Amino acid sequence: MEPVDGRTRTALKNGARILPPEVRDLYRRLCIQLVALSRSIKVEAAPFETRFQGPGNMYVSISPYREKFLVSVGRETPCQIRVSSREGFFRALDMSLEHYLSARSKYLHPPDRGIKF
Amino acid sequence: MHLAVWGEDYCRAYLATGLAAAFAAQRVKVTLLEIGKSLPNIGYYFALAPSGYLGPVVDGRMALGGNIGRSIQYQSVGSFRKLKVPVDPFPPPRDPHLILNVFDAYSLSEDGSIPPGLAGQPDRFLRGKNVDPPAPRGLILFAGERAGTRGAKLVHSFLAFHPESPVFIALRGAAGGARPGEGGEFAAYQGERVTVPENLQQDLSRRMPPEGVFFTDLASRFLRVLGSMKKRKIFHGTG
Repeated sequence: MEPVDGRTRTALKNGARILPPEVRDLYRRLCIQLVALSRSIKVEAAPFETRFQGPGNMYVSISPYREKFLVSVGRETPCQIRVSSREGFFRALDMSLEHYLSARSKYLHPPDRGIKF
Repeated sequence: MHLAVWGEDYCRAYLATGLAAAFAAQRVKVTLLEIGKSLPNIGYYFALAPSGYLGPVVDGRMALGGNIGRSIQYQSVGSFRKLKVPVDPFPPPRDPHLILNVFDAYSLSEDGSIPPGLAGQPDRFLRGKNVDPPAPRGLILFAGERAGTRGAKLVHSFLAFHPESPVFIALRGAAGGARPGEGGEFAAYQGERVTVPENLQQDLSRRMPPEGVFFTDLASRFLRVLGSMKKRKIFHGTG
């Protein structure tokens, strides 16, 4: 696992694609907050997507475009938020945080498997 | 009263709101002071709108503050220097009042000790000066894995400020015993032990203060200890 600084650098790589500086700054802030959630979160910078993976199936991906970025929260039935303003940023960070906390709870306290016959 | 959280095992805001709610349920008015930058903060568990509780995350100059009913007044800041004593007095003069000062390792000195400015925060929120007798103090420490030597430093520094004050060490494991690797030097500590149930924090994403026997019992226990201290007048510090 990379140190915190290394993960943040990896996360920020794809942000250069975003043209408006205020939107690029929101992308940067979101990446920093996701990395800071836990040391166990891994960051991968694919060519057009930045992925954050944590324990308990936590998964958030960010796809930067010229004027905005798209945040996808969750893996199986992802919820997507377009971010080009502070309001979108708050929604994306809020949903990502809730997803992370839910995943962490399930990881620490897995549901009972039930009886098998 | 200080609530310290060490390590990633425990969620600072989850424990803070659960304990504050438990005190409030026992008719104690609570001033909840959260110091920390990591998410979630107490605003998440008080179900504030995202732009509300995340605002300080974007703008470090902002601080979070407000009231939950008539029982809890709260602030959440990145540094203890940003805490502000409210202009309107809280609570009413005759109501029992507890100041819950919550922080994690981020707020400590490099050696793990509590900075004097942080240790003295609750005093600023006491209503009236020259309180007689001075208000009792206490510390509850949730010691996660690898708390070890630096966690013990936190306890020692607290006791240097407030000798003979109660310290509760919260650890997972049967009968308050430490699991291997957890607690470190706390294994030899002779103070109060709190057993953290294995299923604590199973509802981390739920947007409300956690409930349950653990928080109720801990609050009751702490109030009993503080109450007996007041009767015996075994405490030090300024009012």
